[in-house]
Amino acid sequence: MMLQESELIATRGARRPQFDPSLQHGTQGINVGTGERLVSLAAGLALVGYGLRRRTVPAILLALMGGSLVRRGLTGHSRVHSLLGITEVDGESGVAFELSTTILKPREELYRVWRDFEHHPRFIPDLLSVRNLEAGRSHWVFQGPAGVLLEWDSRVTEDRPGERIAWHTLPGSRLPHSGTVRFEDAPGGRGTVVHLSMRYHVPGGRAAVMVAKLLGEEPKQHLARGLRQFKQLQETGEVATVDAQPHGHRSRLGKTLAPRS
Amino acid sequence: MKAVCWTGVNDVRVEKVPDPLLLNPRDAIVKVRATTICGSDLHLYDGYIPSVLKGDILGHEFMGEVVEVGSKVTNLEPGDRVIVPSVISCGDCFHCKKGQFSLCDNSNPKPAMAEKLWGHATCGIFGYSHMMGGYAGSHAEYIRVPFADVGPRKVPEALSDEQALFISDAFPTGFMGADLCDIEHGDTVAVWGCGAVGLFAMKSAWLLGAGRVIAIDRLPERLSIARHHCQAEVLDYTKVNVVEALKELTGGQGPDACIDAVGMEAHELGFEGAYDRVKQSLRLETERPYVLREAIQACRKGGTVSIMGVYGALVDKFPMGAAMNKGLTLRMGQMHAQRYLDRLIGHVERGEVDPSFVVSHRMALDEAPRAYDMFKHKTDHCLRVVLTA
Repeated sequence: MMLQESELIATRGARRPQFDPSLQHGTQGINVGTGERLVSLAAGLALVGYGLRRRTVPAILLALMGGSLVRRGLTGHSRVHSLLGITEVDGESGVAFELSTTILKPREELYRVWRDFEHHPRFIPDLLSVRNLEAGRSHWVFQGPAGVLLEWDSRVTEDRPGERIAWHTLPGSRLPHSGTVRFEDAPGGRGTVVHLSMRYHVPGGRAAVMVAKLLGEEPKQHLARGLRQFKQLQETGEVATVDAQPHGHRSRLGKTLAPRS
Repeated sequence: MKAVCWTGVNDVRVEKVPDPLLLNPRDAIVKVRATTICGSDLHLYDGYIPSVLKGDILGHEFMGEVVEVGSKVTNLEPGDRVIVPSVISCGDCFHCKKGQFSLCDNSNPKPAMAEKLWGHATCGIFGYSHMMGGYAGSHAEYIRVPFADVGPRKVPEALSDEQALFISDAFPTGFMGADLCDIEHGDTVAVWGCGAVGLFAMKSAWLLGAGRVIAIDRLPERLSIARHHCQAEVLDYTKVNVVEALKELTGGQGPDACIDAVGMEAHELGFEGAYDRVKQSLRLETERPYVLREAIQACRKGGTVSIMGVYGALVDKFPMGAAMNKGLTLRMGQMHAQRYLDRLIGHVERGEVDPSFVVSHRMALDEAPRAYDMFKHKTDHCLRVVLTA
């Protein structure tokens, strides 16, 4: 029997496997555009040449860096991109990922809560409000990095009660994306497995994705928190928190690190 | 209110901080009547547990009086005297329903670091690093208790604060250590470490049907407590080879069950001791697993090694060959307090165990810095300090 590529669990170099084949660009792990590949190749060769001529420790480090650029140019695969979940071919840039969790509740119940989008601000961090409009549409207001308000309209494209909801944003959205949530019975009476797959096109393109990721608010991490809090809310009726609890004098580092849930 | 805050390695200070508030419907606010410094607090004090930040309020073992409850807490009301377990559990998730309360899916609001380090996160624990949820601890005048409808138990009239206090953490930890050994009538149980958890493990081994209990430590006063309060035979590991002595004492078989009530900062002798100390200080390994190695070596074929001492990350020179070839069962975990609370309260109520025998010092919360120092260095035969505001 032939296995699909997506059925294999890769080990090395596959820190963030994407299991849904429709989420994957290309077939051989190519995640760097053609122009950028040529630039990588040229810059890499120059660095290798320089490093091998000088033979000092810093120069050899540069040569090693050059080597990885050459590899990136030749294979079209960037480890940095793959670690960050960035895909960029076919002129499309964005972030795609899949998350799942198991919740000890029946799927009909979870579907109902998810389907009423006006509930989402209770569990998705920084989502300020959602308003249901007519014809499967809804209006979303999100507090982005650095306090920027991002608004969009979304439309449900598939709605199978108790099973699956798919949606995408409408033209003019400040955070263009599409998503699917699937609800499946977990084996052994363990409730429901919730799968969430998302594809984002971050405003500002690749640079903004990088910046958002470095700030720790990348979409995947953000929605992982959201999904976890959805589980907490459904199982326990509340979201666990330590925000707004007392503490003593914090150092500057502590101030930065401590409040994050 | 006043609270004991971690301010750096080997440094805690009493600071003025805001009073805690109810944040969720299942929260309660408890006025701390008695709290104690646990051996595992020393791992934080010593800087061996990552993700402790300057300003964090320490402490997880306590009892107190309810002063305020959230809208969904119907089992408690202001004025109730309560034992609060150190581990925070929702009671609703897969693990809580299985009785694995310290593996609760929902009570840790900061699971990311533990997920990276261990694959999954554990429950939240009061005052026990941000990896364990970042909850403010009990070395304070007041504390916010999440999921107060699941954890806390009312203290029966007959029990004093000090008798109730240790049912919060040390007693159930020791009890679980013995429970995991599946003790059969007449079994020999060896316990490494005569701190409070080790001593309670010895008491519990008797409750569960052990025929013989052997205690291992180096401090004469602690060995004496093990002998007199816990009816244990005692071994001083600075004077005898423990593995040989245990073999001798058990007619060559080795103990049926071995309980590690020491953990990652075991004291060691000779070359092996120096080796682990150097590697730990260089962070090439995070633990000094001497007790664990010895327990595996000493345990009888087909016996059980139960690990209650805390480990954080990586151990070196783990005797897997001995464990595998001797067919040992290794069991371990943060304790599932809520599974044992009612039973233990019963034992104390009936006078079968008086947990207050571990109290060596009583001090005011203000004296916490001195209390930590004393407890760490075991000066003045310090076994357990009870702090009261």
